[in-house]
Amino acid sequence: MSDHALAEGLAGLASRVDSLSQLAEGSDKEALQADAERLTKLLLVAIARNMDATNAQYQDAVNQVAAATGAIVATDKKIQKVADTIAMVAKALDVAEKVLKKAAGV
Amino acid sequence: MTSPRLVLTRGLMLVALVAVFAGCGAALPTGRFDALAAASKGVENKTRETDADIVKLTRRFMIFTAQAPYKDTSFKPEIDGMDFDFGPRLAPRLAALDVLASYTQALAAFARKDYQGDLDQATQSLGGSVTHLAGHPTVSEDAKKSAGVLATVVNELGRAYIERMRRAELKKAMSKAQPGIEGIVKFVTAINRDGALAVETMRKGIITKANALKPSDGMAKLQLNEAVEAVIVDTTIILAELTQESAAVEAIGPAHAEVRDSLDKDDRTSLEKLKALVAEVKRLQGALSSLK
Repeated sequence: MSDHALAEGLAGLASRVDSLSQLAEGSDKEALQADAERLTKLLLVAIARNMDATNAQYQDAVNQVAAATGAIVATDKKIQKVADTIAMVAKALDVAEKVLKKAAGV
Repeated sequence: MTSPRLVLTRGLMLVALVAVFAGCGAALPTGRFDALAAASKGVENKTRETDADIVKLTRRFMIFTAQAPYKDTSFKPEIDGMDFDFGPRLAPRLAALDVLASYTQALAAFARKDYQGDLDQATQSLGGSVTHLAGHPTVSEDAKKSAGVLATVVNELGRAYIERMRRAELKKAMSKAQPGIEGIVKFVTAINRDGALAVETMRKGIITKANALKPSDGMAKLQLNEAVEAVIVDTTIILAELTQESAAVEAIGPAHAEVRDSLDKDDRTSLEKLKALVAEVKRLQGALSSLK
């Protein structure tokens, strides 16, 4: 697994959320826009962590986020409702944030 | 005590030896070493400017995305205590480029026989650069090792007054240094790629945020347009610079190998060879006069 797996996974997810937010309306749109912003910042944290070449915890983080992102991709085709998608994105963000915090030592 | 006559005899013998060696090989291609050193320093300087632009872009990203109510930390590049301040993360790459520049300057000084001035200065500068690089908490072990290889190679350079010996020293040193150069280049280009990804991410983030804004009037719309246009232009330039800098630093390895290989060739004209021979003889004469 490459050192960029975490950043690439988050970038893919950010792109998906951004596209969805443009189609959504009302409170769903706002929720997805907030998620997109949070994702962008988490992605920047992941890129910055990637530059910390000696961070030993990073690989563990990469593996966990890749698994979470993979789960979202696998179930993506079955998702019918925007609300379900938002819940799934939020869950993935929580996982990403948790592992990034671990990697960052926060 | 050595008599002046004996010194002169020894001097003439050395001049004769130089003439023999000149038949075997030409003067060192100092211009190529200087060009390699100048190119390495140029990449370092340009990268320093690009890094400053990335830090400025991060500030601009925070201006677009910070949320009210404001706190004194609202514009710090962080989320939930995790920072994405790229300044410190880019610094080891600059330190690695500084190692490369100091190493090539040391080679150029050695090729020019400037042992007392430039070589001493470049050797000290290289030592400082390697220590500086190793002191960064985020530098990789491979980059540290690569920098160490370059420092060791330069420390092992002897003070060869005969050109043939200097040529052999350079060839040996440059062959040993080649993997170190490649290690530094790999480290630098990997961070350039991450830097480019960060720039693209911030650009997308700013555009997304701008699309969600609702300017109150025509003037506010115009100001928003100008701000977004500046981000698009600046990020396009930064991305182009990072690509160019990676291409330039990747060219240093092959150029280093080519300069080393050129030590085996002699593609200069007879006049150049003669001039070099005369200059070498004069230099040796100067060295000998100090022995009297």
